[in-house]
Amino acid sequence: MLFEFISDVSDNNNSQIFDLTEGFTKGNMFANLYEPYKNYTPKEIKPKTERQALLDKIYKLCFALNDLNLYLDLYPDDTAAYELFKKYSLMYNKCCEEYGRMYQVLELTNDTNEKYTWLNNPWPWEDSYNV
Amino acid sequence: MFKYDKKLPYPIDIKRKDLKMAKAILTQFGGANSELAAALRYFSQKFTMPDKHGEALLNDIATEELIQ
Repeated sequence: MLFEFISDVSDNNNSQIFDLTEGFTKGNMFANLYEPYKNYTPKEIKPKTERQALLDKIYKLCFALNDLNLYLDLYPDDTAAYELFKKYSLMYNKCCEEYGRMYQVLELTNDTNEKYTWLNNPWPWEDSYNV
Repeated sequence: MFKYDKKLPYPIDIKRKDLKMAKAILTQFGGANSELAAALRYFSQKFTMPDKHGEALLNDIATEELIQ
């Protein structure tokens, strides 16, 4: 059978899922699929300002959503994973909206204030972005 | 189909210039064995996937490769 492999790896179901910080730091949301690289210890990010802390949360939520997205493509019936996906989605949208309101718009479709700001706000590779 | 968000997948904090590292990163970014080439391959492979898991997975992996 062509796609037998999907049932072969189905014992990955109900796998233990890392919390946001650990998943983001290790680059993997799934404890049973994570293998450390040699004796390298992943560095945890320490935000210095409130703005960085909110952006940090957005990064973490974004990563978790990406990884859960790929997992759910293979295991759409894993309700626990889907519940987590829904929870993080709501948190992500809320954080992005808050960041846009307080600091700068991250998504073009949120640029709906009195003035068009998209081209004047810093880009992610500029020093003034991460302040 | 494509949407740019004004953020990176991981924050950067460049403290000094490192030409060797820059070259290594550039080969990951573009070229035959790069993330960019991989993303485009996944995008075109998804059209011929006969099963919906594979179709979705290739589409979403391609998207994920593009943000790297």
